[in-house]
Amino acid sequence: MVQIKLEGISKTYGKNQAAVHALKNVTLQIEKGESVAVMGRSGSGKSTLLNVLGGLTTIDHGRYYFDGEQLKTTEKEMCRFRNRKIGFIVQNYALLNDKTIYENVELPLRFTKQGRKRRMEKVGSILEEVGLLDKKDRLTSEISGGECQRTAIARALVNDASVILADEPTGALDETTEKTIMQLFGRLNREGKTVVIVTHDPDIASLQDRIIRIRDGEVI
Amino acid sequence: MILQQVRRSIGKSGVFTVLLLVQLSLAFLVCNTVLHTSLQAAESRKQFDKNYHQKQYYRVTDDLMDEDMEYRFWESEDSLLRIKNYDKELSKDRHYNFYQVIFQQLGIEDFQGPEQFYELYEKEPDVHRSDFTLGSKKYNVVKNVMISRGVMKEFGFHVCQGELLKGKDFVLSEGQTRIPILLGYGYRDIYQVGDVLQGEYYSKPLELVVAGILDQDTGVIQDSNNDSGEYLVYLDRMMVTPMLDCSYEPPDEEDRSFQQTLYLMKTNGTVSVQNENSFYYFLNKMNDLRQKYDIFEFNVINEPMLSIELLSMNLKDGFWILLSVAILALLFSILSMSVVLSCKIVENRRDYGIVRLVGCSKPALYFSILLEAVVLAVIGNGVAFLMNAAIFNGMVSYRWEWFLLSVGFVLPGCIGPINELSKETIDSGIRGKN
Repeated sequence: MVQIKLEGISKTYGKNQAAVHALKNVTLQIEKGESVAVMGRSGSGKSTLLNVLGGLTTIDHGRYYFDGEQLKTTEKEMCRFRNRKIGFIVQNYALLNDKTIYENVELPLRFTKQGRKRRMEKVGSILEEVGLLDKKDRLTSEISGGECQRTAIARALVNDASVILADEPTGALDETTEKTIMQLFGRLNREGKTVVIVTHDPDIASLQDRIIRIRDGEVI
Repeated sequence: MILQQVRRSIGKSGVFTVLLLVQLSLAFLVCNTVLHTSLQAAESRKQFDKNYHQKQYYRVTDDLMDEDMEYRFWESEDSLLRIKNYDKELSKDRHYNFYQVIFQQLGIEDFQGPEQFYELYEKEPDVHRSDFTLGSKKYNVVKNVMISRGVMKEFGFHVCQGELLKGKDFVLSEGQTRIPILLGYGYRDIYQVGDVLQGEYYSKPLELVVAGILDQDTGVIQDSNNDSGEYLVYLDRMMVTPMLDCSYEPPDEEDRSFQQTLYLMKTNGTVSVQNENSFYYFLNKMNDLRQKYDIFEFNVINEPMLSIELLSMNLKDGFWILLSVAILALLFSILSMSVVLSCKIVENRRDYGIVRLVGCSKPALYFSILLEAVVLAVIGNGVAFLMNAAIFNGMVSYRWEWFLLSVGFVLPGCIGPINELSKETIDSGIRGKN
């Protein structure tokens, strides 16, 4: 079953002579439960593609279907989409450094109507899954890179997102931690999550079901 | 979540936030003073319009009297008795109110109040400590107004502590050394009802017993003496002493001189009447009494009451300067708020990106900026309130109207920062891109 479908997506930054065509008429499909690697050189449009998939940026042309429905581009719908459907992970983790692991993971739930008790249950469950329950009260500024990335993964999963988008998730990690994180992605994928990973690393890409290559904003 | 974001943001850029708060507090303090003065004037105007525009006022004065005539009058043995009887008969009549308001400095021994209560403090700050010695006692000269019985009713005096002066309080008997006085509202934390002050009343040493503390903003109208209308003078920093009737024959020359001065002052006053008939009634009665007791002539001048100055005499001269300072301080504060909040947007860029990544909307973040400005305004008001209490000691009340206005005034300072925030993308926040 097709979960993500892009049709003729274009995205341009800037105007006139300074315009940069980050994505040109991109069309692709990603099946539910599929794991996909996106590869390409720096500036090829990989991160822009991930931003479009994650609803972080608007598109200039084309259509984006998610679970068979066209994505609405109103601020309210985009927020809801980012909060409920997508788990987004970036290389520098994007965590609030003056907050604890627990508070960071709880963050997406604060934008829902779930009560405190329900939120505690969900965060506890997801932290146990990523092996951070015993460190939940530690500030994220005081934990290792691997633990930060696992916190970011837990935050991405806490609202039961069906799609995990990861931009260079192991770029800042050592080899051992990288292996642990990739095992975690593998497990999530086997549990039915759709995983899209942007990477430069062919070894990581080879672990995915499919590789999408992108050059100068076009899928090749 | 928004409240948490506001708390986090206020905590950041600590030094700039503190400086902004200091600036806001000072601006709010000045603005509140200006607003308080304006509202007080408007309230007083309303009250005075209600009370006095239905009446007609005439000033009775001996300004143009021939000095020789006065001299000849006092040469007579029974002159004091005649002027006393003249005053007694003229003052008591239900068809009009003949009253005296005389701003006359008062010497107080070992005065406890602050400098603002000294005579001439506003006009001549260099010489306001015009202390003097009488006998072995040293007196400080403070602001004082002498009032006759009819003044309290005419100007609607009320007390917040103690009681108003009674009829018998305006009579001085032979050998009496103690008289009751009222104190302006500003004295409420300095002296208590029942306190006894050693005073000097027209060179006569007297004990002054505090009978009551007047309500805040109690005022009387004072003639400007230069045809520029009347001032509404607030008595908050003044002592209020009764204009005494002396019920006894003066035992010596010194006392006689005291009584002459007193009764000469009492012939100069203001008469308020409801209509012209009452005025002519007063005029005829005054002329009849003048002939009966062989008293010198007076001028009677119509006081149209059209140009009552709206502001307290103490603040009048500085009001426009104060208003200009307030406007500039407020504009500068709004500008500073805009700059500081814009700096915070840059500093919080990553946080904004992260919260938007997990579902927070842009309008919610705009709201957090507005809320932060409101919180800063509330804190600024709190500090200004404390400063106001410390500086003015209750003379200027912190207005709730200003509290609401100030919150409204700081909101334009958010336009720039919100515009900055609208240009931020999630990508630039979480990845640190420009």
